[in-house]
Amino acid sequence: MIRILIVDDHSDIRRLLSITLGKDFEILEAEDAASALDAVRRHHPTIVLLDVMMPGKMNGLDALAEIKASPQTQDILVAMISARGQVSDHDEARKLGADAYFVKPFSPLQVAAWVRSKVA
Amino acid sequence: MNPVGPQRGLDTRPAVSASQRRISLLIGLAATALILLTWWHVLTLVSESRQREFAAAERDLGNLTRLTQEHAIRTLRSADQVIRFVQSRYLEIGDRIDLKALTANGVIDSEIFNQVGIIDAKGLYTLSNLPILNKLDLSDREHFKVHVASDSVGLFVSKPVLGRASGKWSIQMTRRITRPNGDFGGVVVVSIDPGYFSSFYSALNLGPKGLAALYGVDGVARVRKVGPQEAYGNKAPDAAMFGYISRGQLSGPYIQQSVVDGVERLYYYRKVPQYELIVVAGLETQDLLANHRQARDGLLLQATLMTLLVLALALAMTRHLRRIRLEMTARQQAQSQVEDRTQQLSAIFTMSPDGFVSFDQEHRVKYVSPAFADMTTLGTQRLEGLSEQAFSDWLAGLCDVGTPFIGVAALRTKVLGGKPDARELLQMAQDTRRMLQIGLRCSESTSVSQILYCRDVTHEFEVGQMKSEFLATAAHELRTPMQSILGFSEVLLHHELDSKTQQELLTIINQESGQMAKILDELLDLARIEARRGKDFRFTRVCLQDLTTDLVRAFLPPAGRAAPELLMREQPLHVMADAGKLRQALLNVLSNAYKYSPGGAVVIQIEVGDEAGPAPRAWIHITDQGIGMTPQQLSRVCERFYRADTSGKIPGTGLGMRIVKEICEMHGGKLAISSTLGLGTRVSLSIPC
Repeated sequence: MIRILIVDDHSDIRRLLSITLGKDFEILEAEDAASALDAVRRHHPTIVLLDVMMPGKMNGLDALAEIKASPQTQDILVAMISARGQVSDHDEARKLGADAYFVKPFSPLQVAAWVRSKVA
Repeated sequence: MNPVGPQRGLDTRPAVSASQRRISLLIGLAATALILLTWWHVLTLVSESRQREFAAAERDLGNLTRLTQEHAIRTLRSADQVIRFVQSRYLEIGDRIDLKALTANGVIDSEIFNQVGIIDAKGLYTLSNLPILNKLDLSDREHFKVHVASDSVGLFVSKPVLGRASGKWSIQMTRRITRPNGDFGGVVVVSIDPGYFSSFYSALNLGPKGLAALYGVDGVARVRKVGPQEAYGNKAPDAAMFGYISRGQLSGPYIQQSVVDGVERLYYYRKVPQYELIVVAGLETQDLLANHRQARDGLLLQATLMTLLVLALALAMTRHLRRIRLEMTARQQAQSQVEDRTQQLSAIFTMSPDGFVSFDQEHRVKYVSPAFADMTTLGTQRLEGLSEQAFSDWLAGLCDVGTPFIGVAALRTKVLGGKPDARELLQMAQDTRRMLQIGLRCSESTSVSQILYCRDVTHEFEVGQMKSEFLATAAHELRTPMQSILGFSEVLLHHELDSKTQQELLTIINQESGQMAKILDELLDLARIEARRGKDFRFTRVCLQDLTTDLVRAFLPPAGRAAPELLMREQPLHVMADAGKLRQALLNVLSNAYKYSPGGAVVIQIEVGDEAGPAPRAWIHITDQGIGMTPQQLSRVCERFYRADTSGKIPGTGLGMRIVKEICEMHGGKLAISSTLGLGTRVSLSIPC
């Protein structure tokens, strides 16, 4: 079964995405970048939905860079989810190797559609 | 310089004016003294010259009259000699005396007289040296009559009379013939031609209006000769000399306008001793003073010229001095104006928060203002005299790599190329990390070619950054509940869910909508408080105990939690406060106390600090026994949207404590928070009372 890791400090967002995707995929959750990386290494999900602004020493972009830098994890598809809709953020995420970029408030159906298109 | 400011300006004009007046006065006094001295000297000379002229004339006239006096005496004596001789002979020989023979043979000197004769006792002219055609009766003549009654007369000299016989003027000199028995025997008479005197006087050079005369003390002229004119018998009793003689002054000079012809003369008179006669000589003063006048006119002309010269010199000196003074005053004023301007400019440059660097015509640094030196932490380094390029290199060296300085020349090219407001934003690489905005203005002034100005925009830059950060944060915070609302409603619309899950999602949507509304409310509240800086606060006298009691009564603690405990003194404590705003602040703190404490008491304590001191304060402490905060969290608790809890389990906007802080400060109060992680938090508001 395809594993999807949802990383967001807000439980409501995690809940939203897990309800949307939970029927078809195995859902993992993390509430900060450090535990997300931990989960990535341990469970090697197919897709990571990664929030940009999170508390802690690392933010989403740092975690993205880490995932894409490591040969073991660089094949993982990462979609960034952010409240920051600025072009510069978008560009930075792309530069770091993000596979998609969703701006809050996003449509859970669109996210689900993107996930399905990637795993079909 | 009243000028300045006018203000001050240092005005030296009164002093200069006073000193100038003093110098002008000195010059005036010196000039006046010089002129007075000149005139005094000249007038003295003139007066002396006049006196000398008069003295010389007096001397001459004195000598002259001595001569005429002598002449008169000699003449009269000679005549008297003849009279006495005839008198004596007549008494001896009576009518037999042959006067003609005596005259012809020279016994009697006839040179000085016309006739010599005898008038008998009856007054008939009986004998003469001239032929007598008929004996004239001369008994009515004065020179006869004076002798008839008395022998005391002696020699009588008559006034000039017009001869009945000769038709000529003559002066009769008579002596009485007294017979041995004392009877009157007639009179010896000698007729003297006054022309004898006048011809003598003609020899004297007295000028055209000079006078020589022989007067009787009776005031009648025996002979009066003025220039070529001679006259006999005219009366001048008012002439001054008669007065002098009557007072015993027998000779002397005097000046008088002639009572006869109106001519002013210097006279010298002499009484002829033994005769009732006066000789007088006079020189017309105008004639006498002709030379003196010429000399005097010359002197007066010289004095006048001298006066004019002195006046002209004095005037020129005064003017020159005034011009010098004016120039000095103008220079002083200009100098003081320049000083004033320099001070002003210096003050402006010193105090201006903006920095300036001016360049001279060769584009070398001419002046660096203190503010510029300060902004660039120049220290003791000197930039004056640096070329434009060297200055640009120096400034570029200070800049952070992110904001390289293009150089003054490039900036000038921009400015002259149609972008007069071109600015460069430079960040200093030094510790200060200052943001400097650099601009350039080109000048056509002869001393300054261009001015580089520099403004420290660090603060504006930081404020700008803070604003965009705030906006980003606010957007983020709003997007989060919006995400829940949008996302869960979409899920509800498109997914088949059991009713329990539906209920759960709707509850989330509802909560998040409320959260969004709350964020918006609090954002607006905060914006209003910050924008109006307390201007819409309505301060009234508020009793803190009443306010707090009401607040607690209305407060609904979370389910299962006890109401807050109140610890306060009975004595009412009043403060000036906006009751509504203060309640809002306390409510925020109280909500937090419950939100961040899973259990335990929440205590509200009111007390007064520094009650007897100069600034007493009311303290409201709200203490919980909750989760507490780390020092790092504590330091950020009043930032906008800062949430110590990031789990999302505790609802909140992150604006509450910020609002509390603003309200507290608008009351002139302070917010103090102490917290220990795991033990609880104490929030204290102080308000002046």
